[in-house]
Amino acid sequence: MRQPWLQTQAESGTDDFSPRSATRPAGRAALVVGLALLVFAALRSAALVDAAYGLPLAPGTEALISAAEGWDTAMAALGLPAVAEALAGILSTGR
Amino acid sequence: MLFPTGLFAIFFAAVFAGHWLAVRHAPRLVLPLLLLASLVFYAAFSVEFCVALVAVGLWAWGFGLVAAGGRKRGTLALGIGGVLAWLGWFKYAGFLLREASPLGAALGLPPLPAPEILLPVGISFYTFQAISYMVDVHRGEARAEASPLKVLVYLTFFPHLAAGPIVRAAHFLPQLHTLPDRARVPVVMAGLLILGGLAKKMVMANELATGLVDPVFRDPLAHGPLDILLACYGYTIQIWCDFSGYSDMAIGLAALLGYHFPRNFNQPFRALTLSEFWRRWHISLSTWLRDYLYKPLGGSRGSEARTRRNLLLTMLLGGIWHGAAWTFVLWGALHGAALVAERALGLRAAATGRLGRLLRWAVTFHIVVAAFVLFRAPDLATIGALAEGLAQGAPDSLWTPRLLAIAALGLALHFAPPDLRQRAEAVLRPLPAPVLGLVFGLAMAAIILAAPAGVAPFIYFQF
Repeated sequence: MRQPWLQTQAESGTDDFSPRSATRPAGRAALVVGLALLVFAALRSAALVDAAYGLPLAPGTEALISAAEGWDTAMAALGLPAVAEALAGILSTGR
Repeated sequence: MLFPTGLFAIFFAAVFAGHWLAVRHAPRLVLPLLLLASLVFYAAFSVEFCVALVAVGLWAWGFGLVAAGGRKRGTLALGIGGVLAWLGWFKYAGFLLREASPLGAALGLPPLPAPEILLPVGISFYTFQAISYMVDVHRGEARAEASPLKVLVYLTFFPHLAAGPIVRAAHFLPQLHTLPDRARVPVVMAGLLILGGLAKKMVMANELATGLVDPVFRDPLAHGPLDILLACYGYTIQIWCDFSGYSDMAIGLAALLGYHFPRNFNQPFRALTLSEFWRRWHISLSTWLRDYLYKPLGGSRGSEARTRRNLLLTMLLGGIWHGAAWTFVLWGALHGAALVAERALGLRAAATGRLGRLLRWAVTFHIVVAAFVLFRAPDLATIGALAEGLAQGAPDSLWTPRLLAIAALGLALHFAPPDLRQRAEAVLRPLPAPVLGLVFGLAMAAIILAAPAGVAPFIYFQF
């Protein structure tokens, strides 16, 4: 039995998946997930630094903080935080 | 570790990669890896409770082995009783001792201890799943697992661990007996579910909570009648966005790993009757209560009076399941009474005519809203204060065009055509993987940027 919910049509309204659901091989799916997270991390690089500082002290935490700070500096050089800030300003209109 | 955080995103990326690599290169490691990931996820909340979670899993597995195939009913009862005692201690011991204190004092007894008991995240969900395993195995609907590994993965699987959906053993365990197909990952639908859930939770639920509902329920008398009314309706939209958003994300995350959870919400506010509402709202709980409580009580097999008693009892226990507070008891009692009234008045039959349907919808919706006010109120005094605030007429200060727009957007999303997600999937289906990744990443960032600062816990985390 391999993902039978992608092979049989469920009663209407009872399931999100059906034989019509588009599927991709795991490698392609990994590309989609990886790129989505990369774009997200690029636009939220400052939040990543905050998250890294919030991690419990453990081996590797320092390295993670350094990596997050390096990533944030690189994204700032590209001007992405300013883009994100402008977008956030538009999206929070009226708050 | 909450779903809408950067930490969870990193965690999930690692689990996703490790899982599919294991499916391809080391199939024997698939389940141990999923168990490890789930325990790491849970340990982020509490390491001690993580050990307890494993103990509940081993308990269910052991009793499942003994009570399999209809044998030893007494043993099954003991297994269920043990799990319920575990749940009862954490959820109800403090409440019962507190409530019994005045009675004890009146009888001249020494004061009872009032322990501050920390509630383990997801305890109501995983205990119900443990019961589902033991009962399904006893009924012969699920196989008794010889090794505890699959039972532990079933119980701890991180997408549903903290707040459901309550996945049945008979539904999920068979999925663990074969490897998911590497060639068939429904990434578009899963992505849409995750993004939709994220938007519902982060933008709509959080904004309604922080901007309107929380301030009003914290101090009703400080707010005007319009604010109070809007907060009552707003909470109904908030809880739908919050909980169905969580469920959508859980379903999408599980689907990305090749596993299936059934749908948990199906446009509940379209319901024309309360019984229809319960076929659309928190479906995994309502069907659990139906199959493991209502039917064993006799369901609708006996006299009409017995059926009504069973309905009332089931809804009352459903209310208590949510928490140890009189407000939850009243919430369950109101739903139970409304369901009984519906039966008594013959309202379960289809309404005829447009006006009849509209009237039925309005009555059902407002019973649901009123019940959610009970559900949200921290205590009975707050409900009195809300009523008083409606009459007092303090100035309204909370509602803004943005909040109204957010509420309208939440309702629009709820009442959208049922196949909206499938239509969106049809649009995204032809996109190449890199473009799809870019679209999903931009959408995710836009949702987070539109949300109020911080991540409020999901409402159902407290249960």
